[in-house]
Amino acid sequence: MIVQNKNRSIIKSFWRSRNLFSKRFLVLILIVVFGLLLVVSQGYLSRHVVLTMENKKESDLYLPEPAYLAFISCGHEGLVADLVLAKALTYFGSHYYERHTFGFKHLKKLFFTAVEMDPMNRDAILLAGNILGNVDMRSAMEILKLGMFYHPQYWKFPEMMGFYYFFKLNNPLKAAQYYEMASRLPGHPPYVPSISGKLYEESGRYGEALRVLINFYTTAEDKRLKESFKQSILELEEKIKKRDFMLKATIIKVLDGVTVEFKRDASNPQFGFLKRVETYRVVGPVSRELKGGDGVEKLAGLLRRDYARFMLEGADVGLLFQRERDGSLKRDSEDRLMGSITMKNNLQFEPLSVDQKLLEPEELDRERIYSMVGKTVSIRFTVQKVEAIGKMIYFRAGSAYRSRFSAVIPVEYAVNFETVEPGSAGWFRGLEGKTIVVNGLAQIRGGEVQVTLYFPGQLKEFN
Amino acid sequence: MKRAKVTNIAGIIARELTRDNVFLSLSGASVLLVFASLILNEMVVGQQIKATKDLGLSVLNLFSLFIVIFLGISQVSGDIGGTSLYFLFSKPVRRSEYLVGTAVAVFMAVFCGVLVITVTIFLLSIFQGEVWIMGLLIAAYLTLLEMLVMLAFALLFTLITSSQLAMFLTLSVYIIGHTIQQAAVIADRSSNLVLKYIILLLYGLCPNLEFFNKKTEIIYHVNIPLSYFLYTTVYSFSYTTLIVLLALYVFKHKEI
Repeated sequence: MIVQNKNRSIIKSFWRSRNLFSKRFLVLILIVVFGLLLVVSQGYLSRHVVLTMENKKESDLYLPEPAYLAFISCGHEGLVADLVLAKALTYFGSHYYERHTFGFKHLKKLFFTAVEMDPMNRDAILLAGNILGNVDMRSAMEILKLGMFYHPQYWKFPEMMGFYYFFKLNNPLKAAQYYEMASRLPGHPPYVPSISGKLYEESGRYGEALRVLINFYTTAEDKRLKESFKQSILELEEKIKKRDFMLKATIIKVLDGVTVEFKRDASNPQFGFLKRVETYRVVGPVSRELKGGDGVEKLAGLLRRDYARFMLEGADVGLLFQRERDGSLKRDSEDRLMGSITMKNNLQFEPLSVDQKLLEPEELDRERIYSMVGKTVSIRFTVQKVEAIGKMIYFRAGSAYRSRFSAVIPVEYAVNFETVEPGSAGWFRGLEGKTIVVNGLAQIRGGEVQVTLYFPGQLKEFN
Repeated sequence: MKRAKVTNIAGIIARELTRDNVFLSLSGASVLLVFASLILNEMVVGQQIKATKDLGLSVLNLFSLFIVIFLGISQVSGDIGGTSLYFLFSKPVRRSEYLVGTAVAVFMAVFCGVLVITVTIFLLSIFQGEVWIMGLLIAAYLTLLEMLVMLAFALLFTLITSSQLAMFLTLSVYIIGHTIQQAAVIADRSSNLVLKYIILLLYGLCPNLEFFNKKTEIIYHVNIPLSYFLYTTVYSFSYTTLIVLLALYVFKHKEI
């Protein structure tokens, strides 16, 4: 109140004195005029800056070449690289929601500059490879190659290249080459070599895959790793064997869920004795048709037929025939050839049908146990006893087969199963007396046939 | 030149310098800058405290340089321009004792500043979950060696030119010293013979301050051989001695 009165009295005194050019009055005028000018100019400039920024959003970004930046940074390249990297990240963040309109025009340059300024920062290269992988695959590859140039002994760059080639560029062969490269470098995790093998397999290069796996089997020192490679080698050898005896054919008609008519590929002289069109019964050693009263069997049959039509009719497949002891192809009483069907991507029709609950896994059969060795099987059996001996957890089959068949889980892999069902030991013991289905490679160990389980997907309770 | 006199002069000037507002403001600003790395750390990928290390080491280096430039030059030029030297030289104090004493005092101020920043970075690294000590000590040591050379140049330039020009020239030596190595590479590739020989001459005369820059190796834990420290120490002391001798010669013949 006092201040207000004082101000009023100052203005009144100016007015009364009529001296418009008094010192105090001039100061007041100057404050008001320049205050107004300041507000106006600031408003204009702020608007102008915002407009300029919007116009410049995608057109200009002044960033000198990395060599020049390094030159002028006077030995502080690391700090400059940090600042450029921070700029790259904020650029990515600020453009993310407008990516469809503007894209990320300068992101590559920012990342490349940051990496060239501080090539020792491997995490920055990985991050750049990761972010650019979602924006511009070619740039991501370039920056990862740059990373490989600066860090030839670091496995993560070729591993990431392999990942991109497989998942984004759909080129399993190239992916396999990069994974193989990664698996030769120190510090790589155990899954890298097996992935390179799998990818060679995926691309149809079985020979390459086998070479990679054998190489890692012989050089691996860890026992567990050796066992894992051995398993992969056996599986692959089985596939190679299958491929060599496999006939390429086209399914022309599905008669029912397990019977099809096929037209053989004439290029394979090994099967020249077959008729042009043959009937084929899909049956392996591992499954049987569903049984049950009240029309269940009939309904299952219809479902199986529809599923087979959907999956197989008109498809190019590989047929692996069952053979007699003398090596001739096995035929059933209706003169149908018998065996399994391999579809595209090496998918087996029969296990797929089991997965779809259209076929039942075959119950363990005394006569067939040894014929399964070396094959990937899906077997149903009742667990008589679960016991931990040494480094293995054994799932013993019924008493009649006790010494002849077990499913086994290496103790160190039990943790995988724990994540599915907490309290592994209790859970494993709880399977005693229950019927389970196990999937895996059948091998002979210590005179008995065993299927080794590593992952929860290989073990299911049979309902 | 008597050691006791040099020590006395150095002690008096060092006390004066460390109470100087410029020194305190520079130290405060540097500590704040080091703390700014906490923000930068959030935006930088790499080691957990990479930004703290990068920014910390840069601040350490630049802060020391600013002390040399602002305090070292202003101290000597102030003394020469003022009347204090008349009183000092009327006593049995030789010019060389004054100059060496001043150099020691400025170096002590640099040492105090480096200590403050080093402790700040160290505490900050602990706060961020990493005890970073060895690399930091190496960086601090190399910075001190570098500043020894810069201090010699600063004194020389102060004696031969005005204080403003001396600051500019000292800063130029710093920039040239850090870029001369790349310039030599450019000269090597250049087809212009005149340019090539000028750069090579500069390369021979100017100090190569990149010898003291091992930030990358320190941050990424690359092993630096012990002999390297020995040679950088020898290089720094030799260069400093030569420049200080030149400065003493200039000072001896300077009219005050």
